[in-house]
Amino acid sequence: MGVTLKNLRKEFDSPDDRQAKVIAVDSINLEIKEGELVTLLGPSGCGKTTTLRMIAGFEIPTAGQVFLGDKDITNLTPDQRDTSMVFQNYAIFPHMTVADNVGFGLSLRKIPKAEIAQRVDSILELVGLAGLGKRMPDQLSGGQQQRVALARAIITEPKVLLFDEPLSNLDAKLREQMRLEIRRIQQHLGITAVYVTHDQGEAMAISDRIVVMNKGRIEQMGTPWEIYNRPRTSFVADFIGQVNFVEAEVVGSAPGKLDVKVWGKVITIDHEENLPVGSLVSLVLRPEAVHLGEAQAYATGVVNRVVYLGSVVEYDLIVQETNLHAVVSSPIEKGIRSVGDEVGVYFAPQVVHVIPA
Amino acid sequence: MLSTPAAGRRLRPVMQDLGRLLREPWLLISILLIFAMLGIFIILPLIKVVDMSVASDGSPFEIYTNLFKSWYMRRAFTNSLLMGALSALTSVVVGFILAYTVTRVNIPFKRLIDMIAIIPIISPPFVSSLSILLLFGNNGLITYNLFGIRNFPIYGIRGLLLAQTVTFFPVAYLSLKGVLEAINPALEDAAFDLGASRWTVFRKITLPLAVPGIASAMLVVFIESLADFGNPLVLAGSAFPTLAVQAYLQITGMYDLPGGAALAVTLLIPSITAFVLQKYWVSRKSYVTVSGKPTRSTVKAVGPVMRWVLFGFAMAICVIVLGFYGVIVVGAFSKAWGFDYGFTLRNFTYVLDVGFETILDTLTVAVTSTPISGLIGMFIAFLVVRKRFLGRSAMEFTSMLSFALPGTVIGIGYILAFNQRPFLLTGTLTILVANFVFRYVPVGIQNGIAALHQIDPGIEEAATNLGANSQTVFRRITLPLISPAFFSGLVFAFVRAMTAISAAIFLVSADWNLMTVQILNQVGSGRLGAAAAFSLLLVGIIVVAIIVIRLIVDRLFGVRFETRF
Repeated sequence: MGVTLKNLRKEFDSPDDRQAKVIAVDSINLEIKEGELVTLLGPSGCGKTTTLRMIAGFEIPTAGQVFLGDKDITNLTPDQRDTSMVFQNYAIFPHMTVADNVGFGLSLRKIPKAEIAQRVDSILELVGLAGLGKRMPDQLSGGQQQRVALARAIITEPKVLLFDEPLSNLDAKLREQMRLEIRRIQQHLGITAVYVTHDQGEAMAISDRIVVMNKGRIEQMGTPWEIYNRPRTSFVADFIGQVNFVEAEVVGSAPGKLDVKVWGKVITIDHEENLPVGSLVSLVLRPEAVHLGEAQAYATGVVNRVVYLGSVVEYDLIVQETNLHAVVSSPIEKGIRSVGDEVGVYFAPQVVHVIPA
Repeated sequence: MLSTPAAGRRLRPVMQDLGRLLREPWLLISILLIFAMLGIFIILPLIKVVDMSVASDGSPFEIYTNLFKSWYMRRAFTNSLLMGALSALTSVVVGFILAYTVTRVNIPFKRLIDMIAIIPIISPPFVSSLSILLLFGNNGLITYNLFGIRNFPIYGIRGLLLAQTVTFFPVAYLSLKGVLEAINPALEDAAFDLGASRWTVFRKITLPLAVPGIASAMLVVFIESLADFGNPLVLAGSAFPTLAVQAYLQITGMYDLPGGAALAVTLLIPSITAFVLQKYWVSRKSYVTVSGKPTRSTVKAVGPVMRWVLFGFAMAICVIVLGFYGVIVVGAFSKAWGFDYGFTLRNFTYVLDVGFETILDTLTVAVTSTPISGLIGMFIAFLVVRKRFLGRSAMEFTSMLSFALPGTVIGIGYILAFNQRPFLLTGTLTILVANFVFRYVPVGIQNGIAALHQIDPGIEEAATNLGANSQTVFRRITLPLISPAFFSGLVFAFVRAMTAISAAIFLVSADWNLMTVQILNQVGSGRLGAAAAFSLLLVGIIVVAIIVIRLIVDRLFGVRFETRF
């Protein structure tokens, strides 16, 4: 079942001033389709967790509505909603065994014990914890606790799964493994999911769609491809991965095309909107799209800093008095430059994306 | 007025909270029920006492002015305050030195000190008075048998201060031990490391960090001393009147209910002042967070000489407490105190003969009020910490308030409030149970609140999220998680139901009598051996009960925990 948020708003009392309000979520609209995994992505304080908690029912919206399918669930308490949440710190009941934790939701629904035991076993199998049902939570590793939390959330077959930064307490390797696991299980069950994170890599890896939030508003929503390659604002471009904003001037336009002058050179790029000649724009240029030393260089830069990371080399270049960040992969093949070297700088016109300056 | 946008904005969260509550009728009903009970069993008696004390015609304070024209009553007032202040000082000094020794000094017998500190807490508060009579009274072991003195002046301030110190120092000890354990030893290590001497570390780091805890302990002992009824009744004598005793005598001796009520209200004022100071001022200044396991201290805080001094002090306290309670045991089995210390069971046969009904009554009251008090305490803690509703802080304040109400005030309030329809309860089991439940529930609430603050609310949210409503969350998640607090709340409720006297003495009847009242009667009529035997029985029942409660709680929740009071 899908989830729809209509003009959803949440204000909190300001801690400093009783009269003032802090707007945590600023009237957002969002439609999540059945079976989709949508990530709410943004820096801390952007309202993503508050939004998730309003879907779960832990926060009461100041205004607006939450729909599950066609049903308005805005005023239902959390226990009356068909949503299950995986909490940031897992929130595993410390006084119950793994099996009792996982079976908790079923036991509330008055399901016979034998059936609960059987379903718990099969879910534990699904999340890779077969045979650990008798353990107490404190006998599990962080990753295993995470799996218990996931198993507990999915066993009741909720309409929507909610994830509140579920991987933030795990180490980097485990995090990458678990996010694939979560995605696999979500797709296996075909369940609608909302996933909150501040980690853009996680969001890219796991999502059907990403919703980038900032200061309580939605900056942009789209597929990981769109968010990364066609960011609509500088905030989105900056938040997702590393980015260069290269200043350019519009010098001509044709339907779907734009001639811009960058570093004194005119190039033609794809752009839907018509922009008046003479207006200033920013070109979003990802560091890995910058090529060095090509014959058809647009400009010449001076290497200012070199960071060798093994699989890639990061360069800071000075190009016409502005800084340009470049990442060159496979240095063993392409060689490595030194500080002070002069290099030609080039990028393919189709990789850049225009946002208003 | 409600139509103005500002009012609407302010009203909306309240309406939303209410809307949520309406979706959980069970929760709403229990909140309303608790408010009703707090209103009936705490606020109503309080209002009745105040009302009675100003009920005459003419000037509203006529009763007070008449009462305090008498120098004797003025003396009672100053005596009570003086006693409270002195007891607070001595108890906290003893308690602090012991707590510091146990937490900071490497000495043997630490567990013994903990056990010693428990004994006065689980015995009736006036047992130390009984011991003092056995030791220093007319036939006293020390005064008469040792020195041959017959009329040693133990009655009055001296004996009372000794009795109250022995009774109340454990309260200070246990809370200050918690405070000192919670001070991060790394802070003291850091000061050592920067070149401070041991004395400087104590003076500049440890003591200042403990000051809020010390102030808080002092105020608590002050409140308890002010409310103390048994010790002054036994030991103060007519030359040293105190408010609690005078209020009782005014009512039972002179049948002057308004006068008794006025004395009770006079007692109430300093008590509530101290309570408000403790709750809203001192506790806010605390540097110590409630949470956290005790961290291991460096145990290098004192030099070798000081170590022996502190060890000696601690052992001396242990010997005194053991001596005090030892004479009760000896007294219970002695033929005639002061003259013939031969072994006898006569005291017990006598006590069982005259007091068997009373023992059954007392057990009925305690067994009935303990689970109610324990559950209400945990439930109020749960509501106050985890739920949002209009009047939440009023609920917390009211339920904690009864801690600051001297038993005398409550006792008089109960006979005034419940002597007519619709609340005709005087002389019944209900009035005794209600008294114990609501007088001693604050300790359970406080323990529950502290325990809840250490539990991630996400754990309860997870249960709600999986479909558990509030009562299921409370029963299956919250209560098991805070079961150590629940256990200590139950133990406290039981102990107090067995030992408290100041309010109960107004509420007992021919049908329902209590052991403490009987013990006091035995002391009053000079049968110290019988009183000792009675006290010993009572402590025995309490020890058995603690074990039983522990077994029940363990069985219910399948968890083991440390005993805490």
